[in-house]
Amino acid sequence: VVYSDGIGWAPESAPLRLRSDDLHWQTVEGEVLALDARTQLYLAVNKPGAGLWDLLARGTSRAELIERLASEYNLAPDRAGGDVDRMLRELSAQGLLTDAER
Amino acid sequence: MLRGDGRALFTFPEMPRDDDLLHPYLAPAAALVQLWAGNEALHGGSFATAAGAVALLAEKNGGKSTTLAWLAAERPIAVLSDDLVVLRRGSVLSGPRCVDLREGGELGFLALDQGRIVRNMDRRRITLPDAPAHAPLIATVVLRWGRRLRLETAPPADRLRELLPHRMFGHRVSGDPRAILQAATLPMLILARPRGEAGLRDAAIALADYFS
Repeated sequence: VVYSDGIGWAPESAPLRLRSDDLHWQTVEGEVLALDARTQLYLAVNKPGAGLWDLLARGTSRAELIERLASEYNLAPDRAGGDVDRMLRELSAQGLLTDAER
Repeated sequence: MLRGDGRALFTFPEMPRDDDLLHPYLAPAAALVQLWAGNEALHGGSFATAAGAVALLAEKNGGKSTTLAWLAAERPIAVLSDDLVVLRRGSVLSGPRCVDLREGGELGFLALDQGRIVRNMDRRRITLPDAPAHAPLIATVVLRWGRRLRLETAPPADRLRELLPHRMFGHRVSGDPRAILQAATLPMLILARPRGEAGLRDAAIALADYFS
């Protein structure tokens, strides 16, 4: 899975993090509202996604994201993995992910 | 527009009148300077309640000025600004003490013997009483036209979509994204109403009652 430029194929434990510059967000009623000042893109992230967003803000891995989603919403790992990958693909396509080790 | 020394330079085919400089030309100049200063500027109006300021947003000819004028005339509500909402550190700044109403518009009955004609005989300028210099933003209201009166709250996921189109100069001049985000954390109401005097009155009463 390609999560962001420069990361390339990412194993389960590869570090993932939200871009820290020009990306602003607020949590409102458990949801995340985000605004990318570079592109003026805005995002509304629902409650399950907001939990993943918090992990991504700190720096995390695909494995940790899947585990969080699966445990919090009582999902099978495959199902949680699909949801996590969808979110990561979307964030990556919008240029919001970076390599946590950078 | 000259950035760097804090001046906005507008070029006109002919010299505008003083009335026109005050409105509508002061608002974009003030908005530019505020954006350059790192604040946020929205196309809209605002009024003060006991709890703080409410920003009133709508598309062009969406009923902002008439709603504000009704509130100022019929309720003890201070209008903070018309046509421009400046957000600075979570507060709304007060603007010039006037509202321009379209001649023959919904508030014609209210304004017939008030104000003076400006802007190529097209608007009646109503003077506003003094207002606080600023007040903390507590909510936003988005006005819409509709077949019946409807007042509902907007969920968080809709708020940026509603707010961003009202940024002065769109995305061409960047303000403080944190100010818009902060505004999106606050309650937002969608107020739809029919056109006409009755629709205006019912909507303004609903708005005044909501924030009383």
